[in-house]
Amino acid sequence: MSNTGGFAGELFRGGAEWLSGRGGESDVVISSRVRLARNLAGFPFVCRASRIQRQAVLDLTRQRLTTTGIASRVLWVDVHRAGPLERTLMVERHLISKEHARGAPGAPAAQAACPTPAGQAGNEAAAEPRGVAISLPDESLSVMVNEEDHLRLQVVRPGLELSQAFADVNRVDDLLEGPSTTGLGGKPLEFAFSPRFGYLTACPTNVGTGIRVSVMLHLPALKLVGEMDKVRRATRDMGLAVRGYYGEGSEAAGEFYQISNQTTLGKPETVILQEFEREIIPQVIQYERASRRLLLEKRKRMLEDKVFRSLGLLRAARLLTPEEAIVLLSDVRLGVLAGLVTDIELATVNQLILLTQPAHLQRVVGHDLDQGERREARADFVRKAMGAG
Amino acid sequence: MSTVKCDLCDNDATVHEVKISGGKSIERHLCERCASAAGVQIQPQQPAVTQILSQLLKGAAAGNPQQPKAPAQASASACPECGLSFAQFRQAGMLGCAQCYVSFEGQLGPLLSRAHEGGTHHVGKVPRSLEIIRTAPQPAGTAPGAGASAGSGGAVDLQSEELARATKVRKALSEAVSAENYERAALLRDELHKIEAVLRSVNPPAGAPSLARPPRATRKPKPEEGQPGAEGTQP
Repeated sequence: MSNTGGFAGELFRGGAEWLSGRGGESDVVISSRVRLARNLAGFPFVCRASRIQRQAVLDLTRQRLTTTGIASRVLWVDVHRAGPLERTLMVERHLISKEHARGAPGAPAAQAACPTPAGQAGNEAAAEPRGVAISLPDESLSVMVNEEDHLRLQVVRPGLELSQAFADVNRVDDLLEGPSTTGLGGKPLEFAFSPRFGYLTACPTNVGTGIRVSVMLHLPALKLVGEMDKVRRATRDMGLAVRGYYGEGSEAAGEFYQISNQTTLGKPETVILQEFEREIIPQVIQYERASRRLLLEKRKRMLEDKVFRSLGLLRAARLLTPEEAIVLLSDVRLGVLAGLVTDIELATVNQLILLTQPAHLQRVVGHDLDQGERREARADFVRKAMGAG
Repeated sequence: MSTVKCDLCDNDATVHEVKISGGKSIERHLCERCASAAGVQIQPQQPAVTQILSQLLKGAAAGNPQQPKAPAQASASACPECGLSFAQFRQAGMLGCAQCYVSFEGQLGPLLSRAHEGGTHHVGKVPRSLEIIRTAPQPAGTAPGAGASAGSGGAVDLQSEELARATKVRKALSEAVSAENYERAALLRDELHKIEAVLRSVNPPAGAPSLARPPRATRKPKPEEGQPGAEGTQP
């Protein structure tokens, strides 16, 4: 329950569990995430709340989050007081959203029209009271306070483990608004709820269950055989969103894709989860595996060329951008899984995906770097990790 | 990326239709001409949620043929709780408070149904605090989460009765939806409407933005949930 001072060390000590490569179907599925959106009854939604009201929401929820036993250890961070590097570190670890780090809603339209009392933007917005509670040491649970909704509870687990992720996040949801089990924890939170619309959220696209189920997949073979567009179309026609590695508004980087539901009203959580876990995702997994087999059987030379070129670049480059690194690491990951690359562990590749991000890289190096220095440091770090000089 | 030929002629297909039925997807690839002849609507690119929403909102504002006047009128009114106007909502795509859902219920209904693939009513989890009403109906005020209903005496009786009924209907509704039995679901939905009307008359949504709240209906039967011993343990 430490506050901002030096908390980055706490986060950096453990690897991000969701990138551990453990969990079901981990050759294709990187991670499973379930998020619930909740708002407190009796307060305006964040966008329309005064600074005093936001602070009150923060105080109420912080007390509840840090004393109700939502995890064996809870790290609380006042995001508005955290430094830029620490905020970015949390974004890279998928503990908070970019918007939460920045302190302003994402879409420009929402930014312009989000009628905050002060009508502020930029630095002003960055100072608005907001926070995040993180479970330690696994970091699988994080609860953002005063993002778009008062509370955004999320659990991320490695591999395909949606049911477990939902069970975990549902348990925390119950704890927050149920009677305290620790004898501590202050008042239970009362969530805004209506019988017709369910859990009420700032954006009506989340109303009802407030649930967002996302699965991050690595689909390099589908891309190589030219079937990725088909997958995109099919999933979109099913009313699902396909996003890139960095979530909303991002394109795929290195063939990592997030598939998530968009419908939250009129379908129970269990149905949404089942559709994902039993129907949609298994189909995509089978499709990707079949493509990998096809490449190995019919186009092995091409596959080897692709994989070993990328490995060569990673082992030889003197300057690397994060975008290039993730594209090359994606190819090498495919090579390791296909049995073509045998002297690199899958875990190493997975961890490099995270450690080559700007904030993580600076933690690795131990001091601040400008962009040019980072490219050099990134290339040096990757060469060493890949067993080259 | 590779070009696909039209199913009906030799042109390149530009319209790709995928229908999902019974867990199977049926694909059709057509050129523009064959598509319009076949009556397939052409959607250029699947827009993002915010785009869909803003289009829906614009549609609502411009006055949809079915409801020409109501939205324009209503957009002039503001939510009495937070002061947000429907026009402001249209611009930002964000509501201001829980009461907005009541204030703009008329306009939100059709909009939500389009954004949520026909979903109009919540089916799923209900706040846990309401289980307190079910298990210990009377001593209002002793239960920590019962703030809204505490002290309203006889109203609580009728309310808890209706809430219990709503639970049953809601559960049946959830099952009907799962089983894709939409006829039954529609009937159950109507019944739920009636119960809600009763609840609204018992518990008017004055200051409290949450309306009357029925007990939990469809919780996943997880063995660890609800076991007092399990909750204090580590995740």
